[in-house]
Amino acid sequence: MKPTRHTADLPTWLQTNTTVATATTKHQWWQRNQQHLRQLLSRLAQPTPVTVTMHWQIAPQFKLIRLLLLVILIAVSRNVILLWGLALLIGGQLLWLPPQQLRHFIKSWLISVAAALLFVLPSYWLAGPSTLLFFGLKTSLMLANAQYYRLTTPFQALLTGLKALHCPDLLIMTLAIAITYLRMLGQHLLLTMEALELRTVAPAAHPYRLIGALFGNLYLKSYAYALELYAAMEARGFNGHYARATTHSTHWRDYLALTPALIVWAVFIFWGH
Amino acid sequence: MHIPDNYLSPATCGTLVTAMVPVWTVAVLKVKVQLKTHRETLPMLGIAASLAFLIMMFNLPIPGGTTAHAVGGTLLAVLIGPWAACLALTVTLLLQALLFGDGGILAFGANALNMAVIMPFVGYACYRLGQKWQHEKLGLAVGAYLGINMAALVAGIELGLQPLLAHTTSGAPLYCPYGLNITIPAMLAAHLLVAGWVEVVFTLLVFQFVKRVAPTNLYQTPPRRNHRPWIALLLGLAVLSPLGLLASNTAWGEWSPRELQQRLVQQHISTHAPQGMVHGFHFQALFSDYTIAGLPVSLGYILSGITAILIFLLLIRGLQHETNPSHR
Repeated sequence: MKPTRHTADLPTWLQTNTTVATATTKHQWWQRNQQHLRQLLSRLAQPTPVTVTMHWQIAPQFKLIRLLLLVILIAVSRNVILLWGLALLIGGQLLWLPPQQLRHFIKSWLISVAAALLFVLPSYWLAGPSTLLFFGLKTSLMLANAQYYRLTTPFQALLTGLKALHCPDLLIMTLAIAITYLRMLGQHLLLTMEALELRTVAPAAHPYRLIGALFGNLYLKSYAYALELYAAMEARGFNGHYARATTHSTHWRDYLALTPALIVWAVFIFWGH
Repeated sequence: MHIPDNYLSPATCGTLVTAMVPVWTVAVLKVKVQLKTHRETLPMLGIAASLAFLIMMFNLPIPGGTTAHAVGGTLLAVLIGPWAACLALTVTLLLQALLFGDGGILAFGANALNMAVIMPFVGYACYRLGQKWQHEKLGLAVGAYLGINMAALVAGIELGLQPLLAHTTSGAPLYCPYGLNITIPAMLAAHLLVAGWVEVVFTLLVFQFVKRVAPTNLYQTPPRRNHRPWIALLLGLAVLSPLGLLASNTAWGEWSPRELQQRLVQQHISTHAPQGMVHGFHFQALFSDYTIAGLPVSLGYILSGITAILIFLLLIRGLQHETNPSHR
């Protein structure tokens, strides 16, 4: 370090750089976990804005049904031309996404397809290229549909859809609480990890020693949150039913939004084989 | 262990979701009973689902420079009860599938069976056995290890069955291309050698911490209730057991060598039964085919049923620990 005007008066031991030996390899997993948590928290804090490009809003339950219809059809179908048709259908839907959303879609879709193909790649030597290609096509189509649903549906709409499809209140409430508290618990875990990192001067004997305290504390914190949350729910007149999700009245346009999927199903039933 | 979409045939996915529906129904009913005494269980379900999500995200270092993560099925079962853990893990898997693309949407039933049912219940059963035999931690460790490995084994079977269940006329698999000879060793090797031990260490460490700091926050098994309805159900089934006699033919695969020979002759397959079956080991049971000499067959069925129930009840009674000495 080159001495400046201000540092020239400092004693020599303060002017010399000393590199502290950090056990980087030992703490890599710690840093990596922190990084994963930060990524999750940023994703939960700023969820990808959901695109509303259509002229009408499809009722959430219809979106769910459409997703299920398409995913089941892709799984059942063995006809390459039909699968091609389904690829065109999802491609057409993707055209309505704004460019930024589209880039986000392509990036995450390619990563998930690569991960799926990595597992099935050795089958090339067992069953030949046709199985691999067919499997790759179907998997990528399914992942594209699921990804499109994630990009175009806010979490609240998922809850509303489940409620409209008569899913038990207990499950919907659990789902709603889980997504809310995932961020809070994640934040708590990250802060605890950072605090531990700052306070631990000497290297710990074994990293596993911290795990019990870390997750044990997190569980106790969860318990405290649960008690507080139940008290708040009771104070607001909780009667055991999930009432937040307001069900939309179905419109003829909702049924119209299902028609492409139904047409492909009809094609599959009558000409698919 | 999260099975993605397209690795299982739609028939398998449908079957497994259907198989899960009664489990979820019973879980909801059981948790509703739990809610009457512990009202905080309701929000705790959602918060436990978030906790399970974070546990699955958190990687632990393992020898060899790589990392692995725990699932926390057994731990959650011990902390909040097995039925509540089943629901919380189901919700975690639903969140992972729908919002984060981890695990398939169609394969949700399979993943729920493996990770939300098999893992917590196997783990919890071992923990309870350990508790009864005064080796709580040992029971928990065995439960965590067995739970995750059992779930991995079932996942391996589900995947490995696909080439047999769904293939083209030329024999090319339509879904998971690997057979049982590949999937089971692949799934089990990874879990027996690495993931199982990570699960054990993680479960034990967190359990020890919670037990030391706040032992009242652990799930307390509800007191034993009246067993009379179960006994009545078992006795009722024993009385109804001769109903099977209404069918005149032998059940498929249960033929004697002579019956099998007759069928083979009728179907023009062979004139004699396989040698291995004819000259194989034949054990003559005391009450062969549930018949008791000198009694009508139906009565023999009922007596056999009652005898079996009595033997099992005595066996369970003998293995039980006396919890309250004053009742001796």
